[in-house]
Amino acid sequence: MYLNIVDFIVLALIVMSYIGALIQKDLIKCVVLTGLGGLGLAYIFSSLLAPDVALTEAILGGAVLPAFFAFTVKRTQRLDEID
Amino acid sequence: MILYYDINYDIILILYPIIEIAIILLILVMNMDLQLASFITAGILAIVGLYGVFFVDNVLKKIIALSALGNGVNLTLIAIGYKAGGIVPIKMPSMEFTMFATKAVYPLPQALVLTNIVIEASMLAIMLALSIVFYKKYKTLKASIILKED
Repeated sequence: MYLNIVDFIVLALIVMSYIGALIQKDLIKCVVLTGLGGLGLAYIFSSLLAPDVALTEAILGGAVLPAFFAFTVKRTQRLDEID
Repeated sequence: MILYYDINYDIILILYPIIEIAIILLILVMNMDLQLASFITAGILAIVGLYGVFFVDNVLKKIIALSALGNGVNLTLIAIGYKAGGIVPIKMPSMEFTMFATKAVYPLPQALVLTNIVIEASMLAIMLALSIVFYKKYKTLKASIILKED
C-alpha cells in the first residue's frame, strides 16, 4: 500500500497553509488559509476511513471557525503590526 | 576540431551530496504509507502550533496556532486506528460478523476525536470573545502589551 499522490498533495497543502497563516501580515489572509487547512484535513480524515469525523471537521473547521475568526477581525483590527 | 567546455567542477562537488540527499528523500516519500505520512504531518502541525503559541506576538495568530496544535493531535489519534485495505466501521445487516471484525478500522479514536472537535470549536469561540474584550480595553492585539504588568 503506497501513498496516493492526491493524499500527498493535500498533506503538503495542510502544512503549507498553517505555516503560511502564521507569517501573513493581513489577518483576513490568515483566516482564509486556516479554512483551507481545515478542508484539507477533512479530506485526509475521509481518506483515513473516518467519514463522520470528516463531516464534522468540514463543517466546523472549514466554515464555522473561519466565520468566527472573520467576525473577530471585523470587530478588532485588520493589519498585524510587526515591529 | 577540439571543443572546450568550461565546467566548474567545484560546483558539482558541492551539489553532489545535496542531490544524493534529495534522491534518498524522494525514495522515502515514494515508499511511504498513508499512516506514516499522516503521523509526519501531525508532528509538523504540532510543532508549528507550539511555536506559534509561544513565539508569535499577535493574539489572533496565537489562537490560530492553538487550532493547528489541536488538529495535529486529532490527526494522530485518527491515524493510530487506521488499517491499510480496511473498510469503514459501519456494520451493514448483510455483512458477516467475522469478516467485519477482521477488516474494519478501529472505531474508538474516531468517537473520541468527534467529541474533541466540538469541544475545541467552543473553546476557540470563547477565546475569540476574550480577545475582543482585550482589544476594547487595551486598543491593541499585541500580547506583549496585554500581558505586561503595570
